[in-house]
Formats: sequence, structure tokens, C-alpha cells
Amino acid sequence: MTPAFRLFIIVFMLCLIGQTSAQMPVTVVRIQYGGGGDWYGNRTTFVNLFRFMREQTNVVTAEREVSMKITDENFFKYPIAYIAGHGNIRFTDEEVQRLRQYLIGGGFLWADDDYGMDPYFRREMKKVFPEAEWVELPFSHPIYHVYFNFPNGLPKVHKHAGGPPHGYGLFYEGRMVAFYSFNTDISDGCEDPDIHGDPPEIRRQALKMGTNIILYALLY
Amino acid sequence: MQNDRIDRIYQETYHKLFVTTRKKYLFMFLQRFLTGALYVLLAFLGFIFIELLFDLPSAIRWGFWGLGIGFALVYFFWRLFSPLKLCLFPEHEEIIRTAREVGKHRPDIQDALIDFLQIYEGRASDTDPVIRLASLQQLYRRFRDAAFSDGIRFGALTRDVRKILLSGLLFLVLLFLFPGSIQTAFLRVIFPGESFEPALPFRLINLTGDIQVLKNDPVVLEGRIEGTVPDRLWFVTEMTAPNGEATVQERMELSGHTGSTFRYEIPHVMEDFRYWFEGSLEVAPFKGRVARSEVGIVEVRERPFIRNLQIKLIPPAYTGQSPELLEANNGEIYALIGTRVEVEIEANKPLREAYLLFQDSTRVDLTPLGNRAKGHFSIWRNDQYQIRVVDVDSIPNYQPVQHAVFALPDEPPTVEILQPGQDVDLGDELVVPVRIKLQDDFGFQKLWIKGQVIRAGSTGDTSQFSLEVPFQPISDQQALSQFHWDLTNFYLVPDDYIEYFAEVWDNNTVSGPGVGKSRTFVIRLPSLIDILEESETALTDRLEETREVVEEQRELKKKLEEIAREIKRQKELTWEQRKALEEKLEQHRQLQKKLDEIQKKIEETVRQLDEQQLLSPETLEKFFELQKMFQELATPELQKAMEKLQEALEKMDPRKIKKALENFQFSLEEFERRVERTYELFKQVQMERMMDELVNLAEKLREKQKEINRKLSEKSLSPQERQQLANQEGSLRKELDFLEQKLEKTKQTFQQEMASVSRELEKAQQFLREQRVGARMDSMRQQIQAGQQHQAGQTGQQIQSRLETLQSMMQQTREQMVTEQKEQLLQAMRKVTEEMLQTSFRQEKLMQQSRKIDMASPRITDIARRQSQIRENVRHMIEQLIQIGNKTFFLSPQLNSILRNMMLNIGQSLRRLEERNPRSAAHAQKEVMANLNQAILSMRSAMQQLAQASSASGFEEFLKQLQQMAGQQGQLNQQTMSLFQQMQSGRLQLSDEALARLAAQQEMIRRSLERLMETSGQHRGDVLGRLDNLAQEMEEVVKELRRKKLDRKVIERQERILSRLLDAQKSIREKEYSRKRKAEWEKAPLVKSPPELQKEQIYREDLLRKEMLRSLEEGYSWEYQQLIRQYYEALVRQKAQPR
Repeated sequence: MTPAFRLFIIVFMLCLIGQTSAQMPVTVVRIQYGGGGDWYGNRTTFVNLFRFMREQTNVVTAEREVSMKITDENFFKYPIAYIAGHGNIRFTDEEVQRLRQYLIGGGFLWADDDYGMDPYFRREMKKVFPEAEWVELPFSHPIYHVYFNFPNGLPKVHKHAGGPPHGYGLFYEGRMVAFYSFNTDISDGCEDPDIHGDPPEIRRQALKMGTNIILYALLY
Repeated sequence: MQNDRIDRIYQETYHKLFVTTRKKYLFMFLQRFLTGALYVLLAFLGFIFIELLFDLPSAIRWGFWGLGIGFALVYFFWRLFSPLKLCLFPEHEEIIRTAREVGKHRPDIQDALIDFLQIYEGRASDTDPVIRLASLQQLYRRFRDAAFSDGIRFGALTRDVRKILLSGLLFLVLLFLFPGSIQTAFLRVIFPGESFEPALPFRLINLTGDIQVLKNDPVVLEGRIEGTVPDRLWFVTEMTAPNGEATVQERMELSGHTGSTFRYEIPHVMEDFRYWFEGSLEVAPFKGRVARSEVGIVEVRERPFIRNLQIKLIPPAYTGQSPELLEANNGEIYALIGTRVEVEIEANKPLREAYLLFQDSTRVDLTPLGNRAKGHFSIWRNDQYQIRVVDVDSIPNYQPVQHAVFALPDEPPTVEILQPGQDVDLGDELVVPVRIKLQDDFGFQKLWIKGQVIRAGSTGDTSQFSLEVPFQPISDQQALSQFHWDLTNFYLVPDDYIEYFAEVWDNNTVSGPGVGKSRTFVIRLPSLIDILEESETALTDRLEETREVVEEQRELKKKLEEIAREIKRQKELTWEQRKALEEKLEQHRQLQKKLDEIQKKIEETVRQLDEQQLLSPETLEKFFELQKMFQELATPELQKAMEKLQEALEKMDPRKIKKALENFQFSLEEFERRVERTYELFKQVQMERMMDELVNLAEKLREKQKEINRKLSEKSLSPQERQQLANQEGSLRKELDFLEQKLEKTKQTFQQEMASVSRELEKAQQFLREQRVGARMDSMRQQIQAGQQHQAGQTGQQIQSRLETLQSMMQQTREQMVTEQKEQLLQAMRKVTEEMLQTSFRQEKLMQQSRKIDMASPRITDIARRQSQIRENVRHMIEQLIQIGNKTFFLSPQLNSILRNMMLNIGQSLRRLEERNPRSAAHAQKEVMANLNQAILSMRSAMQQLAQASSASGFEEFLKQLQQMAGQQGQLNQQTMSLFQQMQSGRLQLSDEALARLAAQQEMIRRSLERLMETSGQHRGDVLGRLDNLAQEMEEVVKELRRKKLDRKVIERQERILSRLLDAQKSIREKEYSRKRKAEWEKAPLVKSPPELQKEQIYREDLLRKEMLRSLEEGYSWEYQQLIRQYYEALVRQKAQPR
């Protein structure tokens, strides 16, 4: 696919999304999980991210995300799920089954490590997809180029454990059903500027990457 | 024989007579015809004359023609027919008559001829043939030689012809003299049926006639007037319509003509046309009639023109851009300098020559080939050009179009240092993450970081540097350079700084590389003194600002009270009062804003201090608490009260305004109290920070001295290294001076608040003086400079040892300060508690007395007096508690409400006593007593907490308790779950005892939680918010367990409790992370991309997964399912191992 053709397809799809979402704005469902971790953090992330998306793309987005448990009957209404936190995560058996069903059925999960949730999240996702492994995505993956260009992969927002950030994908029958941004904290980067005191450029990078993730989930 | 001859003679003679007869009648016919013609001509001329004179009507003209024709017919039959007939067909008698006439006219012949004919024809038949013959011969001899037609002279007709000619000449002369009139009259006579108008008195002559011109050239067409000058003149053109069939006429009136000539000019002739002039007179009888000139033809010859223009732009190779074909016939060029322009034209006809003519008359020839021509040129500047062509007939194109050439310069590149993007101070790591963004239209060649190192902290010299750095293109026009700039090699010492900027060259090879430079930034290695001085100033300023806010707030409150008093006296609110209220509201908002700003600035300063590890954990924690207090100054109640007041002001409802104002004032009092408390605590934290700084300064000095000592002991130093070390020792000396100043300042600050601390600081000062630490440092610096490395090392060890002592002294002083603070607080709290106890006893006595008396008792007054004393005592206690609260975070928020209720109940008691209702008063007094007891318990609890706390604030204790509680809950959950599972599997019968034990444990945790909530200050609101209703949840669990009920709901509830306890901890930790993270966002290392995804990576689990799912569907128990999962997981992992 030539870059021009790809751009055409993306623009076309964005227009389509824009049209479709005229009735139903795009939003994300935040997973309320058990185990004691702070599923509720980053309260301003999606407010800012959705505002940024509205300004930068044709996509009509909701004002903010919705929060619910995986077992909620409305959970499947949302095409993109989001999970983040600093600590323990625990899915019940029912949640494991439903999350698997959701992801196999076309849903997409964006997990963002707020620093501290990595072992718990990996453990729980192993329950959901015992057969699959997280694969680190190359910088050429469309998620880094779908709308904004990230030639060096994920932008680095916060230091956390130090070292470079990592973007992992979980694949089911060739489709990436989950994206896990690790050791950067895109969500924190999207928060109100005075919360973490991130410089504007860092914030913008985070918002751009967030946009890419959402658009990737919608387009691919 | 003779007869034959006679016959022949007869024949001859008869023939001669026949011819003569015909001549005779021809002559007669002609003569009569000429006569008739003359008559007709004369009649015609006469009639023309009459017509000329009288302009006869058509009928008369027809009459004339009737008469004329009648006359002609009569004349013909009468005079012409007979001679014509006889001329054509002469009869024998006529021949005989001719013979007689010939005899008459010729005397020599006389009757001979007639006789001959008669004899021959036998009229004398009785005559002898010989005689007859002889007679005939004789007669013949008489006329044999005679010409019979001698008498006919055609010349006689000449006269008639002359008359006719004369008449015709006369007509012509008249026609020449009066051409119009005569001609018209003639025509009117000729065409009697037509209506004839009078001829115009002028003629138009086309002087130009037929002409050839070039297309688009001008043409002048001229004419002349003969006769009267017409009133109006037109120029008329006629051309063939594009379809080639119809013609299109156009009339243009010529105005302003004078004299007999006129002209019409066409500026651009485009195609062939016919033309003529027309004129008219506006006077009768010529009005409405038009005279027309002869028709001329203008033939247009086509110029060459450019039918098609095609330009191709070939950008310079360095741009990497593809050639661009401009839109057809677009000659305007916007192109980069150095672009080659290829021009190709197609003309309408074969060309002999073609060229581009530029503004400065430069000419670029194009090579012609038939109708086409091509050539090229390069762009170096803005210009204009025309394309000129000449056809094979040497005709040039008409007014060539002027095309513009816009030479676009290759814009110089821009470079921006995104990170650090500001002047920064170096931390311990001496590494600066750098991110540089490059932007250019066509790419980059090289990127440098250039600048100079200013060694202000050491040698004082300046050195330039230039460092080429790599970059990665991120798009056609942008590139990014990211790296960690290791500044170790610059050997910076505190106060040294680097001024640097990024410089980028683009890859313009045509006009040389464009250069872009970024802003210049500074990286400084700050000295400890700088950091401390800056933070000192910043925090002192913030303290001062907070004090100002406190004063402004007091002032604002006073003003509001005044306004409130005024409003109470009036029914309606004046405009001025309303404005004043709005103004005060705004003033208050500004105060809140100011406090927000102060808080942010404090946060920034604390962050800097923390980065340099200049604050103890306790002080840091206090700063966090302080910030939190700042954030919570404006309570939701206050915000709501402000909103209500604003609404009421907008609605102009005096009743609502008064009410809203009261509420606002009430909330404002709380706000004022909080601000004052924050200010007091800020002051205290400031003092603690000063102590921290001393401790840390001493520690840093020791560490630095140790480092210098280490370097001295390692190896023999080069002169340069010695100089550097000497400079470092010099810096250390300055820092020691700074420490001494700080000591003095801190000593003075503590002199009033804590004399003992001040004394300790005095001792430290004395120690420094006695031990001559500064002098030793000077000495050591000199020794290093002199190359006495060994001696310097020894001196360094002495200094280090003294600095260690100093550090120890500082730490002890700090500990003493903390202990004293706690002691002072405890003492104050004890004092208030004792007062509360005494007051409680007094209140109890009073209550008992009140119960015993009746309303008529004279002791009521005495009781009321003593109740008033108690009120004063309570007021005094509240003031003291406020003082204590200003110094510690420990006082419970509930204490406030207890004291408030206490005051209300005392007021109630006093009112009842005034009403002489001692029983009711006793009831209120009992409430007061209860309040006092509660307050005492709260105070004791606070004292207990304070006594146990390692710091005065209790933050760590709070967190520990929370953790402990979560641990207990976790254990409890496990026990409950275990019991539940056993019960489910039927392995265990639940005992009441086990359930009661679980309930008791849950109850214990609940109480601990309540205690924690009670003892934690209001500054824990955020965490407590998360624990909201948690105690209630625990209570529910306890109830269920006591009801001997253990089901899934209980388990879930317990999980929820644990989850929320963990949440609360996370919440605190999260905040800590955020605080710590702020300075660490910038790390952005460059890494290689992970390898491209392989198909097997994406699909490889499929087979295993399918197998596993198939297994799971076969109805195994849950445990087996888990085992199967683990098995397949292991397989997957095994497969994922790199080979």
C-alpha cells in the first residue's frame, strides 16, 4: 500500500467515523476492576484526549469516558476499553470470560501502566488469553503512524522505571486485540497540565499518541 | 438560241428590278421609321421634361405609355408595315411600277424598260417573234448599262439620323447637367408603375476601398461626401457569421465629421469584413432616406499566436523533488532558485523565430520546428518574460503576454531546542537530555551544538565548543535529534555555566547551505549557595505573601461586616452596596487565586530543594501537608456561599442577599481561620526548613571536603588538576561562609521561639570559630596551589573531621528542636485539657445547683454569672486550641464541632437562666458537660498520638495504621474465604464460634478505622473521602456474621472493604509518585525498533489455543480446567523461547 493510498484510506475512514459518530460519539469504557488498584486514576485524561481528538481529527467524541465493570451488561456497547492503575488488578472468572469474549468479538483494550500495575496486569491478561503472549510492536506498526507519526515508537512521558517505553500488542487470529503502553504513562501525559507539571510538548506527544491508539482501535 | 438569250436577259432585268424594288421599299421603311423614332424620342423627351416639371402621377405616366404605344402601332401599320412587306416580299406589279419609275427618272430609258417587260411577257403577242426579238434586243440595249437604283439615295436618311442623334445628345446633356433629376425623371417615365422619390442631394464616396490588414492591427477607413453634407453618417460593416451562412451587419454612427471627408478607425481588426458608408438628411423630402457609398472589403491577415504553452520545472537535485509539469498555458512560474525551466510552445502557424524576452532585455532563444518551438532557462531571481514568435512571413505575435517568474528562496532551516528548552541547572548526574527539532523545506546537512563554557566558578576563562550531533528525519521537512548530553567532559564546577545553541545547515547546494540557529540557553551547575539562597528568598517571599493575604482577608472581613450592618438597617439594597458586595466577592476570589499561586510556587521551590536532597523527610512531608492545607483553604461551603451570594446579587432580592451574606460571612470566618492557621504552620515549617538546610549544608560540606581529600590522596596531580581542586576548595570556603551566615540567621530566628535551639546554634558557631575551619580551608587551597599535595591532604582530613562534628551538632540541634516542639505542644495541650477538666467540674456543680432551684429562686442570677464565667473560660480555651492547631496537624476536626456545640449549649443555658427556667438550663448545662468531656477525650487522644509520633504531624503513623488495617482485613478475608470454601465443599460445618470470631475481628478493624478517622486531622480529607462509608460496610459484615450468615455477598463485601483500604493507600502513594516524578519526565532515550512482527508471532498460538479450547469444552471440572490451562500456557511459553 503506497503512503498516498494509505493516507487516502485513513482520511476516508476518518470521514466515515466522523459521519457515523454523528449519532454516537466515540468513547471509551474504563474498566472498574477489583484487587485494590486505583482503576479510577487519571480523571482528566480522556476529557483532554477527546477534546484534542475533536480539534485534530474528524472524529466526534464524547466529553469523557464511561466507567463500568466488565460484567456490566452495557460493557459490550463500547468498542474500546481502557485499563490503568498503579497496583493490584484482579479479574473474577466471569470477568475473564467476558473480557475474552469482548476482545475476540471485536473489542479493543488499551492498557496503560501508571507505574506499578505491570505484573498484576500481565497476570490477569494471561487468564484472559492464556495462549497468547505480549509482542513488542516494531516502530513501523500502524499504531505509531495511523494519524500522527511516531518514528521512534511510544513517546516517553514519565520516567517510571527508567529506560525506553515499550508498546506491546496482544494478537488474536492476527488481529491486535490489546495494546499495552508500558513505562511511559500516556494517560498521565494527557492529564491537565497542572497535575503532573509535564511540559507542553510532552503533553502534546501524549495526546497525539492517545489519538493514534483510539484511531487504531477504530480503524483496524 | 436568240430566245434563250432573251430569256436570260429578261431574267437579269427582272432580278435587277426586284432588287431595286426592295431597296426602294427599304429606303421607304427606314425613312418612315426614323421619322417615327424621332417623333417618339421627342415625345419621350417632352414627357421627361413634363415629368421633371410636374412629377406626374403614375396614371399619367401609364397614359403616356398608352398613347406612345398606340401611336407606335398606328404608325407601324400605317407607315411601316407596307414598305416592310414590299421590301421583304415585292409583288410583280410593284416590280413593274419600279420599272416605270426607273423610266421616269432616267430619260435615256423612258419606257424602254416597261416596254421590254410587256413585250416579253406577251402583252403584244401578235407581234412577229423576230420583231419581238429585235425589239426586245433594242430595248435591252437602251437600259442594258443603266443602274436602276440610282434614284434611291440612302444618304438622304442621314438627316433623320442626325435629328435623332441630336435629340439623344440633348437628353444626355440634360442628364449630365441634372443627373439626379433627369435620371429620376427618366426612371419615373420608364417605370410608370413604380413610386419614385426625389434623389438625395449628395453622394458618398468610399475612398479606402479594398484593403489588407494584420489581425489585431488598427485600420482607418475613409470616405468623402459629394453634395450636401448629410446630417448623419454611418459606418456599416458586414461579416460572415461563424456558421458561414448568414451575415452579420453592424452600423456605427460617425460623429463629429466636418468637411467633406470622414473616417472610421478600428483599433483591432480581427477578421475579414465588407464595409460601406451611409448618410441621411433629416429634412423633407429626404428624411428617412439613406445614401450608400460603394462597398469596400477589409481582408485580415492572421498574426502568429501561441496556441499552447507547456512549462516543466525541474527543481535542483538537492531538493530531491520530482519535476513538475505546470498546467497547460500557465506561464507564471513559482519555483525554487536554481530550478531549470523547460518551455515548449505551439503556435497557430509555422514559425521562423521564437524567443523569451526577459525584463532586462535578456533573450533566450527557442528552437523553432514547424509550429512548435522549445528551449529552457534557469531561475535565479524574480523576473518577467514574454514569449515572442515570428512567422515565416515575418509577422510577429501581437502583444505577447507578460509572465512572471517568482524565484522562491530555499528558506533557511529552523532549529528549536525542545528539551531542555529553557535555562536549566544541572543536577548531580551532569547529563542533560536534549531534544532538538529541525525544520527545513528540503532536508538537512549537519547539526551542531555550539557554545561556550564560562568557567565562572573556577578559572574564570571562557572556551568555545562545537559538537556535531546526529539526527533522524521524521518527515520530509522535519528531523529530530534526541540524546543525552553528557557534560562530564566539561569538568564543570559549581557556578560554571554553558551557553549553547543548536546550529543546523540545510542541504542547499545551489546557493550554499542555509543556516539556522536556535535560541541560546544556559546550563548552569548551580552552587549549593545559589540553590539555598534562591529557595530561601522564594519561601520567605511566599511567607510574606501569605501574611499579606491574612491581613487582606481580615480587612475584607471587616468591610463585609460593615456592609452587613448597613444592610440590616435598610429594607432595600442600594446600588453602591450591591457594587461594594460584588467588589468584595471579587476581592475574595483574587485572594483565593493568590493563595493558589503561592501554593504552586511553594511546590516548585520544594521540588527544587528535594531534588538537591536539602530537606529532611519530615520537613518535606510537612511541606506536602502545608500545600494540601493551601489547596483546601476554600471549602466547598465557602464556594457555595459565594455562589449563592452572587446569585442573590444578580437577582437583587434583598432578603436573599442578606441571608446569603450571612452564610458567606460565616464561611469566611472559617476561611480566615484556616488561612491564619496555614500561615502559622507555614512559619513553623519555614523554621524547620532552616534547620534542615543547616543540617544538609553541613553534610554537603563534609561530603565535598571528603571528595577533595580523596582526589588529593589518589595520585600526583597535574597543575591544571591542582588548580581545579584549589578552586573547588575555594568554593567550599564560600559555602562555609554561607553556612555561618545561615547559622547566624537561624539562631536569631529561633531566639524568640526556642531559646535552647538558638543556644545550640551559638555553640556550633563558636565551634567553627575556635576550630578555624575557614582559615584551614584557605590554607588548604594555598597548599594545593603550591603543589604541597601531602600537606594539603592532611589539612583536608582535619577539615573533614571538624565538618563531621559540625554535621553531628546540627543533627542534634534539629532533633532537639523537634523534641522541644513536641514538648511545647504537649504542654500546651495538657494545660488546655486540665482547664477543660476544671471547667467540667464547675459545670457539673452548676448543673446540680440548677436542678435544685426553682424559677423564683434568687440564686438564678448567681448561677447565670458563673455560667458566664464558664463561657469566658471556654472562649479562652478555644483561643488556646487555635494557637495549638496553628502549630500541629494533629488536632481532630471533630474537636472544632465539639467546641462549637459547647458554645451553643452554654448560650442556651444562659438564655434559659435569663428566662428563669433553671430546669431547662440544667439540661443545656448537661450538654455542655458532655461536650467538655468529649473535648477532653479528643485532646487526650491527640496528645497520645503526638507523644507516639516520630514527627509532629503524624503522617507516617497514619499511613502505617492504614497499612496495618489493610493487612488485618486481608487476613480476615482469607479466613472468611477459607471457611466459606470449606463450607461450600461440605467439608466443614460452620460453627457459631468461628463466625463470632470473624465478626469480632471485623468489628475490631472497624473500630480501628473509626479511631483513625477521629484522630486524623481534616487535612486527611482526600483519603478519608475514599474511606467514606467503609465503616458502615464493615458494620454490615459484622451484623451478617453475627446473624451466622456467611455467603457470597459477605465475601464480596469484605473484598470491597479491602479494595478500598488499598485504594486509600494507593492514593497517598500515587501522590508521592507524582511529586517525585515531576522532575523526571524528560528522560527520552533513543532506542532501536523492536524487530518486525513475524506471521508466526501473530498466529503461532492458534493451534495450541484451539487445542486448549477444545479440551476445555469437554466438560472437565474447574480444577482440571485450570490444570489444562497451565499446561497449555507452559507449552506456549516453551514455544516462545528463542531457539
